[in-house]
Amino acid sequence: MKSVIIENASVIRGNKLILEDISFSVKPGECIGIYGSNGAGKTTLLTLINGLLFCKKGRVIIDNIVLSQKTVRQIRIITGYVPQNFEVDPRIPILSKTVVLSSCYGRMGLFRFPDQSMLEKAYGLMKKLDVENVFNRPFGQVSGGERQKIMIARAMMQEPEILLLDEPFSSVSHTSKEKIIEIIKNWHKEKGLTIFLVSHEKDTIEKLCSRVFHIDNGRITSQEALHGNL
Amino acid sequence: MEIYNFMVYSWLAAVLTGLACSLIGVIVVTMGLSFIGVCMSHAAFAGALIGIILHINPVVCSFIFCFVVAGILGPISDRSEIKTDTSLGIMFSSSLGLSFLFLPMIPGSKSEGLRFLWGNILTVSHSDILIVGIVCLLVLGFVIAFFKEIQILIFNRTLALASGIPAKIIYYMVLFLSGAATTASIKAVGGLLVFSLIINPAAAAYQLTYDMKKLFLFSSIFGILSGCAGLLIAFWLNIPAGAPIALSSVAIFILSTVFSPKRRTHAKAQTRILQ
Repeated sequence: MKSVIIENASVIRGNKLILEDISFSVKPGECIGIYGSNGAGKTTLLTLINGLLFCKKGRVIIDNIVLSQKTVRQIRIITGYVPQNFEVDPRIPILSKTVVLSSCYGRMGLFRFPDQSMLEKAYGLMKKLDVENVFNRPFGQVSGGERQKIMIARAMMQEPEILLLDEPFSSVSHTSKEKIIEIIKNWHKEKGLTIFLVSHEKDTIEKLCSRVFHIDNGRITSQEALHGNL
Repeated sequence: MEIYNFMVYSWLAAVLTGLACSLIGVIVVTMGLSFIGVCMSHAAFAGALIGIILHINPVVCSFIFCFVVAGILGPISDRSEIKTDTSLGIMFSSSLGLSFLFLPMIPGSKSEGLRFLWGNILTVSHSDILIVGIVCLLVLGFVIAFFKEIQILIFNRTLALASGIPAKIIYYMVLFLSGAATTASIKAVGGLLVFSLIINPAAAAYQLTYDMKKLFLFSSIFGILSGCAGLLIAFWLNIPAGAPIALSSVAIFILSTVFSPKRRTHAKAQTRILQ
């Protein structure tokens, strides 16, 4: 279980201030919702935590380690990331099972390849999320909803201590969404991982999170506790 | 004995250039960097011309020039607001401009310079074979060592970074190895045709499979086959080997497209949908 502290973080892209003076502290095992409208800075805030983006001012501290170019790899290895639904070339020669397995590649090192037990684990996770039928199918040829489930299976495969979810349910059906929320809740209960969920759907955050940050125009405008959740 | 050596060197050059170019070709084609073959071959040509003018080994100068281009390409793509194909275009036009500038500066006959443009597999020396052999081993070693990392890099660079993979280092290595494979092959195949060995075998293999291991295997076979078939045709018709090697790789691509199981699967699926 890892704590996440952000101190006075500001992010500038081009000449635009994307995040301004963001500060918060998250205890190990908490589940945080990040809520706001399009372009508010939700995804930028999420990518600060796994070092896909570095802040211009301020700092990010994960479990007493200040995030920097030197420490970023050790943080990324323990951080699962489910990105927003992204464009994929349908002709890309990458199979769905490779996408799931690839989350472990960072910590495996050179000349080490996934063994039978890893393949079985990947299949089991995809079965849990009802996408085992696309195990050997090219990732570019599966539907948007299936892609999101594969990306969640990918994050679970990594066994992370921090999980970053960026609009993970935007393309899945209502029934699938409820099922995945239950899977994540059980996973959290079992492993106690720290979760950040970005969404513009308040009800999704209310179902999963114990605290929500409202973000608007690059600033956290308010935060509220949600009771009875993780 | 000399005739024997020249035959052995020619066949070795055909196999090794075919293998090195086709392996690196799989990575650049699947990463959408196909234009890098054209860019690097012109950089290698410009480098060779500088070498001839300055009386330095042209192959050494080609390597240096290609590595400089690769060293500039990476940061341009990373730091500026332009796409990789645009930065490749900028570097290609720079190399082409420099080639046209240097070519008239060669004193006397331009044939030594033009040798690097057209290439001649029948004139490769022992040291040329050694260079292409080393580059071939480097490319093969890179593909084996970084196979799983290459897969995720092809899929999505951001996700590769997020998984803790040194995506930038691997990407830069791809750029440098593309330059090395191009330069090592330029004397045998020529600067104008070397990119056909980079792109065509990989594109042909791409018609047959979605599996990366098979993609590398098929592309290697097609690359070696193109080199050997081209050399046979060159011996048979008594013509320079560059053009038949390039045309052999095109023929393999056409055959792969015609017999592509992917194409047939897509056609069947479309018929099923329309019924």
